[in-house]
Amino acid sequence: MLVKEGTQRLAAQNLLGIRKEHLIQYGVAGLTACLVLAPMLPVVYSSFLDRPLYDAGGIVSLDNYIRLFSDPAFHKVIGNSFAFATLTTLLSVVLGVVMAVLIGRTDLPGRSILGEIMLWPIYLSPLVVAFAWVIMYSPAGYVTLFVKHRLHFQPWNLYTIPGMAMVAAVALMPIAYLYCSSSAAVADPALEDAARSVGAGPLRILFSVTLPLMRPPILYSAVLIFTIALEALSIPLVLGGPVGIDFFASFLYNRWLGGTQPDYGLVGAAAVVLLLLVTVLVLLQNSLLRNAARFVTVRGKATRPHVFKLGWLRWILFVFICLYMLGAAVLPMAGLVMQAFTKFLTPLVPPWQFLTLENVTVIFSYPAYVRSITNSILIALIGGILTTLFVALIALVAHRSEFPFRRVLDFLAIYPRTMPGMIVGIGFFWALVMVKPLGTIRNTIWGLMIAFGVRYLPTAFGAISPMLTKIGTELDYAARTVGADWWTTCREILLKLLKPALYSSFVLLFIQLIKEYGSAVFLVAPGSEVMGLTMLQFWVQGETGPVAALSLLQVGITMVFVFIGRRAFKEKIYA
Amino acid sequence: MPDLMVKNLHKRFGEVVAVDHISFTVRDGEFLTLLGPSGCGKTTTLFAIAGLDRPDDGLIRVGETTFFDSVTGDFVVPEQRNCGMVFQSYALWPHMTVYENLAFPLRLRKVPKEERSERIHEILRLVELEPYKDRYPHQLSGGQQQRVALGRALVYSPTLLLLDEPLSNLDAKLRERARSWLKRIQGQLGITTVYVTHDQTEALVLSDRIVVMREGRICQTGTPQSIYASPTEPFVADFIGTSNFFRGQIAGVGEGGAIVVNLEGADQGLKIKTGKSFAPGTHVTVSIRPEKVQVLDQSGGAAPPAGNCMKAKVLDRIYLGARYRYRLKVDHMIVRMETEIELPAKTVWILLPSDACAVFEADTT
Repeated sequence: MLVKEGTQRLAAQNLLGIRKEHLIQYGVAGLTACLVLAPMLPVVYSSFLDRPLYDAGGIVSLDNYIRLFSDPAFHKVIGNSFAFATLTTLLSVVLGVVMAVLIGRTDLPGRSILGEIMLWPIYLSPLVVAFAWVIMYSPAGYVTLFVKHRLHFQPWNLYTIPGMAMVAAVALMPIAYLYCSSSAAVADPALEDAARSVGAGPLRILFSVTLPLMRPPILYSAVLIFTIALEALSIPLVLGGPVGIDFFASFLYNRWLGGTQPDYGLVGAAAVVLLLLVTVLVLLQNSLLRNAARFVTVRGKATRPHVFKLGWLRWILFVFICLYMLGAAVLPMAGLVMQAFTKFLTPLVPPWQFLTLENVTVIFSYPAYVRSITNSILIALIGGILTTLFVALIALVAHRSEFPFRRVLDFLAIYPRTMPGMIVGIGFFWALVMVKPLGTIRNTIWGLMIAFGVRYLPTAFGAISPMLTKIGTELDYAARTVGADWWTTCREILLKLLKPALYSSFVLLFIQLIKEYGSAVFLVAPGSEVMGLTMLQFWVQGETGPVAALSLLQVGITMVFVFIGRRAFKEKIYA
Repeated sequence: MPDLMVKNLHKRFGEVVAVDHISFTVRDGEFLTLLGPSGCGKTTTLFAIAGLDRPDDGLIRVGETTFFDSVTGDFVVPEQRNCGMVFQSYALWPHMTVYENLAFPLRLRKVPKEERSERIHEILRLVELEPYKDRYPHQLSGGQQQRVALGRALVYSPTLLLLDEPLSNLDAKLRERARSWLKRIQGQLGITTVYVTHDQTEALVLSDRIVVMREGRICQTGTPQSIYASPTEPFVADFIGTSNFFRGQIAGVGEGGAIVVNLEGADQGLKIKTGKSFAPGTHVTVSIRPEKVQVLDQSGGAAPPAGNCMKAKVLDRIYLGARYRYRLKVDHMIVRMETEIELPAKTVWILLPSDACAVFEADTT
């Protein structure tokens, strides 16, 4: 009988040679280890060497660290970075919590739409936000000049640390909002009922029950935002650059690209300091998450939390929120549009007198600029797909195999979270210089794709692994007993069930990769330009028009993609 | 079909011993049940047979094929063992229709399309699901899903059928139907089957033989009749069916070779016929099933105090439909009794037949 023969063939087939699954598992783990460690090791090593890695006879010493810490400029950098990060965190968390409570728990008009709009800055590159704010609110900005003209004095200065923190807060507030609103929305109404039953008024409940319950997401998002602010490149570069206020990332950037001969040792030492700081913060974040997760994941309750009645106050708050949005997002975006389509932008002359398409044609008349657009799209598309598939494999090996080092793999996959983009960039620069066979991809978009992919491994892992843990192990067991080997089980059962998670991982990666530039700073070469760096280049030359046009283009691509993604990937999700 | 032999199987999870050196054999075509409370190691044993769990020690063989041998280090991966398994959750692949679920094992075996379809339809007829072949699992009821799972486990003619509490997710009525249906199919196919359950009724109804397990060890192996009638441990007597337990001490050997036990709560000694022998003074536990307790006289008057006759006071009764369950007080002991008789009186004479009692040496712990 044919079934019998098939069974025998099944057994015979697998008895040959090395088992395929071991090959795959060791391959995936080995590659992950290389990709994650490749940027790490050279950075750390170079920080202890007295000369560049590629020069023979380097002497290991602490010299670079001594030089770094005795450099008064670095002292300033530390002070500035911490002041900036602290202020940014404070502003974005306060904003995020207020918005989360108002939108999640009150009878504010238009809550659902406001809640949606609140998240939009997530899709924007901080670089674009920075450009937009400079165009409107810098000392020579449109709004600033407009106000100055009326009041005869300048009421604010964007080129200060509080000014920069304000811009960063606008860009990062959605993170706090996201964490806090998911917690606010699931708050157990019984706890509030209990407070009400003992005679507490709505405000009292808000401050003594609702907000304290939100403490975990508040703390968690605060640490997350602090970390991002500490390693931020865009805002320090665009806003701090003109007035000489240096931060971690801009310090690295200037020391590497500024001088005639980059001070590799000093950059390495500064990078290691930043790496250590971020690692500590991420560890802190992880320990917080362990508690926070308990609060955030209590979802799916049938009862809706109570809505706080605001009364007449709701209209005042509504106007307040609308004004915030107008000032923080709508006006700067409008500024970008005006800047993109005019020769000069000044409040003294109506913009339509200088209308032009020149900025757009400039972009499309230089092959290097066109290339940066196509490169960015290619990297986001191909990089997004490849990273998603690779991370899916990592998740399968880490969670669904008998691979002996699966715990290590699990750790490696989220480790890049501790590596700021600049450092990934520096690390891959060294790795591609030192490992000769890899030299061929050094100046290509493939090198960038790998660096970007490594940087966002944790993002993809975070999108895929929770779904994988929700798929019962009996489904793989069933496949194994009926005769499927590990790899067939992964292909035919697990990957197919993971499809929705793979799609959302891809969409997330695309959004991140198209705006990524921090890790490209040290890797880019003629031929492998990306949009973010092209914008910076125009900016340095004072060409704000093309920058605005490119920014709009990037925002447009992202929006179109998110729109298509939401429509197309509404896959049937199996229970 | 070959025998399944499990020898000295041992599995530890960290400090906890899940399966402690157990051995048993399942004969060709036999239906064997691993019965025990949760955490007794029955599922771990089943998973070890399927190859889903690697034991620390022991030997598992099917006929001439060694599945696992800790001495030689042999371990056959699950996909090469050709076992059919039904999981507690059914584990139907949600992205495949009923037909595709059944086709998957055949596709892996590269069975040609026509034969595949023929085979699947044959099995679907067997599990009475032919009209549902294009449905997805979530469109089926629990009972139907369970039958798909069984069909999927049978479609490739496995050497062994392994069932992990397949009926525990069904409601009572359905479970009863599924039970007899499962028994019929297993008999029809004559496939060697290992069944895991914590439900004693299931075990008694379905099995050719039962292995009672507790805390990783085997308490008793035997046919349903022998396990029910002569449990070798108080645990077995309690777990399968219900039993009265009395503590006592061996007084000596009485007439006809019966041993005499002085019960702690009763004034009267109990004569018990048993094959075992105990030294006088040994602390023992005596068990008797409630339905074995007999009513001698319903009037409550004086009766001949012969044999193991005892005067009992009726405390209360529960109506079970077919029978009554009484709680009786004999001296200082409580005796449970099940009978069809409706007792009118407050005091009755009961008999504990000397061949219906079992004696076990008491736990010294």
